[in-house]
Amino acid sequence: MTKSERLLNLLILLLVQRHPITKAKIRATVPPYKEASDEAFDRMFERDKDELRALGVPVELAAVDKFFDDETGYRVNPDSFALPGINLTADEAAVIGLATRVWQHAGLAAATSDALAKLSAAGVEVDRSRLDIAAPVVAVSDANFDIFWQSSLDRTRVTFDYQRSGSPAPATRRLEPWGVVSSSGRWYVVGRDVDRGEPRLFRLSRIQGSAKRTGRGDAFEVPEGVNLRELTASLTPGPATETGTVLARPDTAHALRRNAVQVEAGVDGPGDTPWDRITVTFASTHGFVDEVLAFGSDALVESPPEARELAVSRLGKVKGVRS
Amino acid sequence: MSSGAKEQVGRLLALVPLIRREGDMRVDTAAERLGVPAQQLVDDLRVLIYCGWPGWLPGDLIEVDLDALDGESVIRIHNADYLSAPLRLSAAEASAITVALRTLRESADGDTLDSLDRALAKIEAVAEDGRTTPRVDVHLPAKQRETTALKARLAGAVAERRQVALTYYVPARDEHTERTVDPIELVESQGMAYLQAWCHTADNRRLFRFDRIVAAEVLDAPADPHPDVAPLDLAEGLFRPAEDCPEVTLRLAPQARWVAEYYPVESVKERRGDKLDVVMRVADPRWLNRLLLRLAPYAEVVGPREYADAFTAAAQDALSLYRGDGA
Repeated sequence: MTKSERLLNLLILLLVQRHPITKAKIRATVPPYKEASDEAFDRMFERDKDELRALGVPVELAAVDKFFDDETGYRVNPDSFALPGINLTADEAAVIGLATRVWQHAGLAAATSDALAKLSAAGVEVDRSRLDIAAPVVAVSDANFDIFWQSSLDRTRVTFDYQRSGSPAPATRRLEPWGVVSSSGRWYVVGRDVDRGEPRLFRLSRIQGSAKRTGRGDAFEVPEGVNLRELTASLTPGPATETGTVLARPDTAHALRRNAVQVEAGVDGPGDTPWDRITVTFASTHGFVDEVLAFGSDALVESPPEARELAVSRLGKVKGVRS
Repeated sequence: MSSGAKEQVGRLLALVPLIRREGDMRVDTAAERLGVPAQQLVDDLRVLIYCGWPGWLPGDLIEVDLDALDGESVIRIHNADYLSAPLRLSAAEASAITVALRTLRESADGDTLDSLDRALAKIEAVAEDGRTTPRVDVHLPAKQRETTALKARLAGAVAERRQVALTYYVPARDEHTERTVDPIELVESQGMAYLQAWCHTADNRRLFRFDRIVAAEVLDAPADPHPDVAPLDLAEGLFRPAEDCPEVTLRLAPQARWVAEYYPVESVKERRGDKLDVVMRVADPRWLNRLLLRLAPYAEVVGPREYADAFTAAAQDALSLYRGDGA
């Protein structure tokens, strides 16, 4: 039996049995297991089981006899094995083929195309040739990406040296990775920092050298209800809910004008020359003031009052400025 | 797709149900449906004939009609009733496809957006079995929809070798500039997209950051070829100020430490109070002044003196606007 045959036969064995089947019985049934030494069998069986699970096969451990739980065995429940029926309309099936064009990473692209193959087998007519829509491309260039992606899938701990922003020397971190996240083109890993006992976020480009997988898979559980999107929301600016106005000299502060809600020309301001009033929305007062200050004496914050006060106080603290 | 045993079993767990569901099928049709090379499917099928019901006696095995396979290139499978439904999505597959579709959503509109939304909801429903929450996520930069459309237009101009009329914002001078360029290629670095092009105004190669392109019109005029333009070395970062630009030393308070990572710096030194001294080369003093004003008062110039004086004067001028005594 080749390895492919052994894996498929093990799967069929677990799938067609009505009751969980003990490890000893499995060994006695499958010829390559029977012929192996105790130690070799253990290694082979563990690895085969892990590989089936990585494919998505729900290999369960359960009591052989439901009245006595002293003996456990393995099984694959046909209901949880099967992809539930899925019915896509023609237009829905036509767009999912686009998914293959998003990932610029071998592993993620292969996982996407494997998913499409399964959906095809379930009767979905996937169109892989649509080119009429510009798809955004998500690229991966960090050397350590694969280690974190793989480790979040099989739940293996990872150790790495991390250089914090501006700190002089890297420090060694141990992490239970829950997942990887891309924000504005940069990749991060989210997980539980083992030494600090808390969720943490690390930027992959700040990892020094190679990250290392340590110990076995299934070493931890991702806590119930963990949602990567919520955990990493801090990476993206919040919604712009505040409104402010800026006075700017004509033909200046173009960056503000591009995102303006409204621009009103010929309004009064400091001195005798006319100003433009630019109305913008923003998420944080500090960020809003940063933007306006960059234009120096071409622009000033008009409202809200707290932003105006912040601008005055920040400028007044500049070394050498008379306030 | 990789050629490992695990992957081969994965492919078979899609192929067998496809044939069980739709009946005998030509090899090339099945290959196209599954997105797998035809020869690989034939190799996979040769594994299948040694698999089946435990015991693996002749009557237990899955039957693949090898005559039909070799003769008419038709796949015919019997005795595999227990493999009639495809295997559900693995955590990796469910994560990869749902996040890819969500990412597409961000740049789609109209009918496509509507179709994507419905497809995504259905796929999430079959992927959701209480165990597989996505292990990967993507937050796209703001204005992704505009950027994707612009990228498609500029990629077309590169491919068709057509000139582009650009309106481009130059932040150092706070100016909109108009120029005609010969597009060379699209470049991506640190999550930023750029157009590399020959600029006829500057008569030199320039990089144009997508989020600063105000307007881009693809012209009928053909672009001039520029075979002598050396490829960019992305490993070193896109922007390295020239060696002859003056060095300026800045002292950054914690609120401004990000500057040391965001811009190329010559050296970095820790100071008391969690401050950082950085040395950077400055090509345009106006650029530095805008940066310092934006950071005020969290960055100061250690030297040379003229940069410190220029910044103090600019801050003083800006402050006078709020006092009503400026003009």
